[in-house]
Amino acid sequence: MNHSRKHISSLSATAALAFLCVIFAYPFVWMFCSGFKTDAEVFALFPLLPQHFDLVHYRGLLSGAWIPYPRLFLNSLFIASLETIFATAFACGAGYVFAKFDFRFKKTLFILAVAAVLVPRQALALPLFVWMNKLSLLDTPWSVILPGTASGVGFLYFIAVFRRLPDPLLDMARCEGAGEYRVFLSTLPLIKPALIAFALIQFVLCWQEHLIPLIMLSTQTHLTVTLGLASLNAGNLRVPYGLLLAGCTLTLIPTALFFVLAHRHFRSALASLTEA
Amino acid sequence: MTRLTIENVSKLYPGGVAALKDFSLEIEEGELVAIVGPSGCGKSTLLRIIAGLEEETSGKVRMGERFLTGLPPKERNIAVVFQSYTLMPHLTAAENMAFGMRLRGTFRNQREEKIRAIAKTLGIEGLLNRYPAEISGGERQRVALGRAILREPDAFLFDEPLSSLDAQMRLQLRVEIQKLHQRLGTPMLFVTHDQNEALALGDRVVVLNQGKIQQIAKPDELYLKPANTFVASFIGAPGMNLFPGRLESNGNVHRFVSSSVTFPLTPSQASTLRTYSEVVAGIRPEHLNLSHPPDAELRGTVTAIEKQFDQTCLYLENENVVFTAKAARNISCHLGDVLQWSVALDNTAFFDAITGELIL
Repeated sequence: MNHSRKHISSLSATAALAFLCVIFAYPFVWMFCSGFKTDAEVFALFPLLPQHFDLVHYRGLLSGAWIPYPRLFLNSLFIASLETIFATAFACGAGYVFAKFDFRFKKTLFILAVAAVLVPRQALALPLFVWMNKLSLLDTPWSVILPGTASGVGFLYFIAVFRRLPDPLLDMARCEGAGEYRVFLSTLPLIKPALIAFALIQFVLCWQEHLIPLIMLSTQTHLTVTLGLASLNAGNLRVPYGLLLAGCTLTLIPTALFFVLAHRHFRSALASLTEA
Repeated sequence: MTRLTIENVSKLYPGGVAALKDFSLEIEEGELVAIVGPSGCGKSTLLRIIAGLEEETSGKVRMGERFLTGLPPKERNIAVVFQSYTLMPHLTAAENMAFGMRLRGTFRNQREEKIRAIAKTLGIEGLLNRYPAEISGGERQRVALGRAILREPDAFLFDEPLSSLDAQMRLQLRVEIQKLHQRLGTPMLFVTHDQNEALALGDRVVVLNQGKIQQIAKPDELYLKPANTFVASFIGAPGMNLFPGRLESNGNVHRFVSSSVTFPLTPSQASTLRTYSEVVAGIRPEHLNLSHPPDAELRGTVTAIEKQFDQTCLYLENENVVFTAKAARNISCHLGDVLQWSVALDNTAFFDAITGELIL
C-alpha cells in the first residue's frame, strides 16, 4: 500500500517534470526545426519536424547575402570573450582584496560597489556613450567591452567566495616564500568552480547584450550577432523567418557549448555557496 | 651561529588592547623554547610577528645579526607549521611539500629527490601521491612538517601544530619533533596551550599571560619554583593549591594561619617571611599527605573524585576554600567524606599576597 503510493507519487512527479520539460524545450525545438522550413511551414502547427532538412537558410546566412553573419559572429565572440576575461579578473581580484585585507575607505568603496549594482544599465547608457565618444572608442569593440568589465555583482560574489577561504592557507603560502601577488594566484585553483561559474554567467549575459552594443556600434560589419539578427527582423527586407531562426540556432551554439563543458563546475559552485 | 632574538616586542591593537607587552627572548642555536599560556595570552600574536604576518608596534626581531623587522614573510626564511588548513587541498602531498621549493625555483629532479628523502624520515613515503582529504590529520601535519624542513629555514615556528590531533598521534608527532630538533639544531619556537606538550618539548618554557612574560625557566624549575601565583596555578594538572593567610609568631614558634589551614614554619622560612604580614602559601596537590589528628593541618570534604591510571585526584572543600590533593590509586573514599591532610613543609612555596611574586 505504502509502496504503491510512493510509486504513484514518483510517477506523477516524473509526469509533471516531463510536462514542464516539453514547455521549456518546445520553443527551442521549434526554432531549430524552423531553420529548415519555408515561411508557410514555419507557422503551420503540424508537422513540427521539417519535411526535408534543406540547408538553404544556413547557406544564405553564412554567405553574407543578408548580413555579414560570420563576421558578426566573430565580433560577438571577440567581445564576449574579452569582456568575460576582464570582468572575471577584475571582480575576482577586487573580491580577494576586500575579503582578505583592511585598508582606508574600504567601507566607502564597498558602498559604491553596491550602488553600482543598483543603478540600471539604461541609466548609464548615455554617460557611457559620451565617455566612449571622448575616448574615440565609439564603433569599436572596446566601447562594448570596457563598460562590461566592471561587474558589481561579480565583486560581491567573489567577496563571498574568498571569505570562505581559510586565512591560515594564505599565511602558509606567505611563510613558504610567496609574495602577495603570488599568494593570490595560488588561491585561484581553490576557487576554480566559482571562477568558471561566474565566467559562464558573464559570457552568456555579454553574448545576449543588446543595449550597449546598440548604442556604441554603428557600422554594419562592427555589429554583434544579436544586433545583426535584430536588424533582419526590423527592416523591410522580407527576410524569410526560416533564415532568422537558423541565425538564432547558430547564435545559441557558443553559450550552449560553454554550458555543457562547464556545468559540472557550475553546479558545485552553487552547491558550495548554499552550504555557507 | 644563528640565534633568534626578540627584543622588547610590544603589540597594541587599535582600541588600546595590548596583545604583547615588552616581550624579550633569545633562542639559542639548537634550542627549543615552548611558549605556553591560556588562550588569548598573546602567544600566537608573537609567533605571527616573528614570521612577519603581523607588524609589531615596537621592538625588534633579529636572526643572528640580521634584523627581520619590516621584512615581508618571504624574506625572513622562517618556517611555520600551523594548527590546521596547512595544505593546499588541490595539491597532492608531494606537491604540497614542493610548494615552497617551486616558489624558490628548485629544479624538479632535485625537488623529487629531497622530497623522497624527507618523506622517508617522516614515514609518509607511501602517501606522496594522495590528496590532503585522503589522509589523516596526523599525516597531514607530517606533510606540513616535511614542507617546513625542505625550506631549510633559519628557524622553525610551531603554532599549536598538534592540538587538532588525537592523543596517540599527538605523542607520536611530539617524538618526531624532538628528533627533528636534535638533528637540525635550528632554533625552534613551539606555541601551545597544552602544558604537558610545553614541558615535554621545551628546553626552556615561557609562561605567558595577558601579553606579559610570567616566567622563563626550565620545565623542572617551572614546576618546583613558580615565579608567581599565576604560574603556580597554571602549571600542573591540577595546579598548585593557593591559601591566602598571614604569619603569627608566639615567642620562638612561628605559624602560617589561614581560614582553612594552619601549620608551623621552619626557622629559616620564618626568618625570610618575617617582613611580610600577608602571604599566600602554595602547596602542590601531591604534597598534601593523608593523615590523622593530631598531625592533620587541613580538613576537606570530598566534592569530586577523579580516578587516573597511577593515582586518584581528589577535589576537596573546606569553608568555601577549594583545593585538590593526590592520593594512591586504590584509595577508598566517597563523596562527602571528610579527609584529614598534613602539609609537606619542605615543598611549600610562599608568595607575596600583594604582588603575587614568589618569596620562597
